[in-house]
Amino acid sequence: MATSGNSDAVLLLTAHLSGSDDNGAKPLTTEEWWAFANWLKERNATLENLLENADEVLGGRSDPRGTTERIKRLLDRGSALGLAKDRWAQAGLWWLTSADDDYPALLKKRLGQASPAVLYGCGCRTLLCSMSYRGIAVVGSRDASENDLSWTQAFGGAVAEAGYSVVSGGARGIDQAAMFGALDKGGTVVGILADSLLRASSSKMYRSHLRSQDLVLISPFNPEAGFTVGRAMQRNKYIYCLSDKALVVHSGIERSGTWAGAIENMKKQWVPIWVRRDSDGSGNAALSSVHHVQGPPQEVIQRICDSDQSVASSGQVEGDFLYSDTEVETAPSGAGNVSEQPEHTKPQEQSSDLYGHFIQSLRELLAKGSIKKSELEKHKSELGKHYGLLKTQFDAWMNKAIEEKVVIKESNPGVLYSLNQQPEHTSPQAPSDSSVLYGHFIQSLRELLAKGSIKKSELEKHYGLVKKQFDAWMMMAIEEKVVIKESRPGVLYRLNQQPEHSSPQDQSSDLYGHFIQSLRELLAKGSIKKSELEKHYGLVKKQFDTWMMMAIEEKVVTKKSNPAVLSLNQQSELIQYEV
Amino acid sequence: MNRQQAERLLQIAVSNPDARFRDGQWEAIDAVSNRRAKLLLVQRTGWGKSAVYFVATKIFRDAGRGPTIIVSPLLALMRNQVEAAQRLGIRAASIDSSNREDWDAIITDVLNDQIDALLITPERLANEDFRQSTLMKIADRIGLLVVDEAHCISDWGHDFRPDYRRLTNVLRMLPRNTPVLCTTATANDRVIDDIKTQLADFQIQRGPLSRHSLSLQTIRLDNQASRLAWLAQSIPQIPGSGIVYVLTKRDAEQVADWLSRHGISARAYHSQAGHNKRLRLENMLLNNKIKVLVATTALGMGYDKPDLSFVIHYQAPSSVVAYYQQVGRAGRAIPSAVGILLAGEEDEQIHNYFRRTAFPPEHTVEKVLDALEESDGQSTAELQKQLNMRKSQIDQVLKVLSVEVPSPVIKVGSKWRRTPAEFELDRERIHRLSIQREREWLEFQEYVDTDNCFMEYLGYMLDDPTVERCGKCANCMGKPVIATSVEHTLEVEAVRFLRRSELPFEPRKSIRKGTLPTYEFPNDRLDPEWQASEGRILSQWGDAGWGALVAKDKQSEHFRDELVHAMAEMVLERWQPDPPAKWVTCVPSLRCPTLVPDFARRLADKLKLPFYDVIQKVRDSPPQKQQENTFHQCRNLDGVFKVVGRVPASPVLLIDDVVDSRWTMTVLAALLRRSGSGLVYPVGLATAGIGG
Repeated sequence: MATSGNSDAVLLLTAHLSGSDDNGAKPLTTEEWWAFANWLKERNATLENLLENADEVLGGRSDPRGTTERIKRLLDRGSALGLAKDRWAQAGLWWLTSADDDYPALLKKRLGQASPAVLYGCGCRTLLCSMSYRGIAVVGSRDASENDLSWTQAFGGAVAEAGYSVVSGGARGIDQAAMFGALDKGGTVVGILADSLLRASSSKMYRSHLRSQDLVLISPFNPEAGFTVGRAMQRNKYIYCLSDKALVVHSGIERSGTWAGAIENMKKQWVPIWVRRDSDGSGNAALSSVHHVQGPPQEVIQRICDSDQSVASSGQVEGDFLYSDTEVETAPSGAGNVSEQPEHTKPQEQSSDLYGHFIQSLRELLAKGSIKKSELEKHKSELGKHYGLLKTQFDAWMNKAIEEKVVIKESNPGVLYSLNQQPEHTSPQAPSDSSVLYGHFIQSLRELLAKGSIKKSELEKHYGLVKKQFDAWMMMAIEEKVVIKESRPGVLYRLNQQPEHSSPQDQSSDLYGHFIQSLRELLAKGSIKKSELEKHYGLVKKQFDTWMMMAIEEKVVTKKSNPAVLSLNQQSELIQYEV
Repeated sequence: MNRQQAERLLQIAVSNPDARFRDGQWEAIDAVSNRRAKLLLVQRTGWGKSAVYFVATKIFRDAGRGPTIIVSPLLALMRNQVEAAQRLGIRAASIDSSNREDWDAIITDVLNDQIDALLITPERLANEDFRQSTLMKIADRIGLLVVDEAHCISDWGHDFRPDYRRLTNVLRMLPRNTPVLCTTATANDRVIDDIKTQLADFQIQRGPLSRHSLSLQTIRLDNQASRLAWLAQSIPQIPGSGIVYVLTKRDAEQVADWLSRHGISARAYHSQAGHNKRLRLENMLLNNKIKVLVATTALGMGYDKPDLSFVIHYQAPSSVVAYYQQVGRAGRAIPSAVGILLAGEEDEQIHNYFRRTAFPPEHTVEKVLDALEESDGQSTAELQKQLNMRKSQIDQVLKVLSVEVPSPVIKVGSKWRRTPAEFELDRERIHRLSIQREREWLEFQEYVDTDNCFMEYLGYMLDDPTVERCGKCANCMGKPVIATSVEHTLEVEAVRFLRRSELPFEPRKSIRKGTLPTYEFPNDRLDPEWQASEGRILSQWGDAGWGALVAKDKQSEHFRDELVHAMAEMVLERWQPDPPAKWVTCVPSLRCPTLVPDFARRLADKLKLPFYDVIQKVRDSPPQKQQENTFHQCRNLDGVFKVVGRVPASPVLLIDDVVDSRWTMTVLAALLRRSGSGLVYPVGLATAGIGG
């Protein structure tokens, strides 16, 4: 994330950096950005080229409205961007630009060239970018009755239990009721904020959920921008576009943001939408052209979920509503190497490798019979443990398994998971416990690191695991001394060259012996500078210092009058024996 | 722009048609301004680094780009630079904590394109309020970013400087098309390697560091008295003016005082002197109005006086890098200068203390994080109230935490908030840094004792491949540059001087709101009638004067007569409070009920004054030294004391042994005065703390 050229270029061109009004050139609007991206693509130029030599790339560009001059000036905002990124990174925020691979595919698919150039976020990024992500938007007013609020809270829980993420706007009232309803039931939530992302990410109510990776908060606006009605309205469309279905719990009419958002969704036909009938919201009844639902949360979610089948099978009303007329605008890869993002990309090979093992072992489990959903829910954490996976990763893979039709989620009330007998490559010998998955991870990690050190962020990307899972396994790997975490910023991992099967104590004394021996051999050829020696061994500094100090104490080596130089103590043996 | 054109700019700027770039200058300018490179420039002091960034600034400005921002750690340097820039026809201004009232005008000038170069300190750059309210307004116009004293980026290059760590975070976040120039005169391979790791996309240009005009020497003189004596006898022999470096603020004051008493015009310079005073002192030295500036490392970096003719260290600095940095200030533009290091016995102890307190202890970090976890943001004042911690401790914790990426804390407006980032104190790093510091200290000890050429040793330690024997240091010549023997009579005098270095006791003027309900003071702001008068404290705990004896006797619970005499002599011969005290009383203690009263009684006898034990401790309270901030220190005293019996209406000496927060004295003075006493003069045997 530190300095990806593409993402820097998008930020330079489009981001409002100061949080207030920008004094210099005005950043490109979404529309201007995509127009420029298209222009670049036509010229076969990349964002990298643009950063390397803006004058050359922009040379032939006509400049009717002064945009070319503006673009040059925007590209010169490097120091401001450095300061802004430093602040965001300090707050633990990340950012995704439309030039990044993990920019949410749904947004590009539904909004095309209206999708925001930059999204700022906090919390579980994988939640948002996962291919198996499924969300239900829950929208409604800030000022809702106690009744509506408690209903919404229960509904949030029901959404979680049905295996969906709650997608909402993070405002007080209906939004937060739905979000915390889901979070309290251990579900996952996507919050799309209209303002003050940085403040929200450090608020007490969200903090623990962000930490446990059950929540992701995103915003297309500067993380420190304040509330405006315009931004709130604009934000609404992203709530729908990042969902699969939507429920309007409580809406005002005409001037209400909820109302406007729902109308926009219907016009654009992004997702099927339901409106709750029992609420007192004035807009609820007025939203007449959509489906109305009523009753307790469990029944409502049931209806919404059941419509799933109808979309998939027969293309009834909801299905038409959702997909039939929607123009599928392909995301422009405007900036040359911005890759296209079809909705269902193939999972990366390495991660699918691990996922493959998961599926195999799931198959074995389900071969014995179906599992009730309630049982699965109840024993989720145990199952998670069984696989040595964290819950969020387990959920993600489970959903993917359903999507790929390995597993069938049966639609009757007590939902069961069972093995789909159709696909016919049964596993020869399915691994069935965590150690197998972890073992596989370790093996592939070894192979990878054998080629050299790797940055944490790269490794993380490579495996496509949920961050927490990745961290947990990396920690195990470090504890077991398979890999070494270098204590520098931008964490690097490298393979531990130490033999693995000896106990730690033996190991270190053993190694120290080796160290001393090789030190003797080295120094026998002549004196060596300390800094070179340090480099030569590539040891953790602390380790090197300790051992050198021991070596000096044991008089194996001496420090020359020039202390940067070390040489072999010729009488080392003698002195050692004396001691 | 090509070399000829740039050289022409230089010639116009210095009004010298024959001016030419020095080796490497054009290459640096070319890299930054034509190729938008990120460059680390390692060149000795006086090589002309500022010419590089000023000519580059000219080029940028002529091309219509925004102003250069120069991040520089020293006030004096900034003022020098502003003037130097103006001579080159560059409109420069500085923003620092001393000219807050001008900031708005300067920012307006920048926005109106009236400024070519703006100098700010790393502290400003790390200050969230400044960044949000001031810097971000102009940040999108910055043409070139310059970072001076860039060795501070490396852990090896300097004592831990959180502000530079934050600056490094910013540099790492810059896009590739943003040029940066980092400069330093002090960097060895370790430092450069470290900077390279942290700033991967930087190129490096490096020149020789050897300083030919300097004659170096080291002298071990264990006790402070002999070093004071040496200074008084040797400094008058050296022509020109120079700097004496000391480690603590207290030493700066003491040494300057001593030198002044021996007819050497000397002034003390340290971080607590205030900006205007510091600036004035820097100028006095710059213009040779004084012979010596006695300074702590507050005058470390960037002080630019071309004819500085000596740098003497009263105590050893922490490392070779620090020493080269400081001694390298001498002899820049004169044919000869001296650099003498005096090494003392207390040096190690002081550095040990600095090392120990460089990082906040883990439990204080946890306390702050726990408090923030339970809230939606708290100001430092609120934290102080909630946690029994000093403001400086809280500030240190927050600063150290806030340079992490991601950071567990972030400041929004006036409040600190807990981010969702998990945090674990990097014990390994802290341990590594302390070992490193210790190692650097040991390496420096070898400089003190080496028989080889001193300059060669420094060059070698700084990995300068061009280094050779200097031929003019004490080791090369085989005789001292300046005689090492010390006149005995002067040394005896110095011993007496050290024992007379009492400190003033500045009374507090208010009490903390709501902390002392039992005493029913009408206002938080103490009525002047009830305030203590200025008093005296005989020594600093453990110092080279009386402090060591005070520390020892407090342990054995009896203050010897020597201290009674010393105190009486201080009162009668030097202090002579006016109007004079007519009686003596003391601060009672339940833990050690006789120690102080016994001392006060003997002192009263010696002064021929009556002793009245009029203050009672009616309730035991936890030791005051365990109270970490003013709120708790003040509250800890509520209802603890009571004035009993007849209180004379005349002035009184109020005696205590160790004075820490000054709250006890302040509260007791108010109680005594309310009971009808005359002026109250607080008197202590020693102050707590090391006096940094």
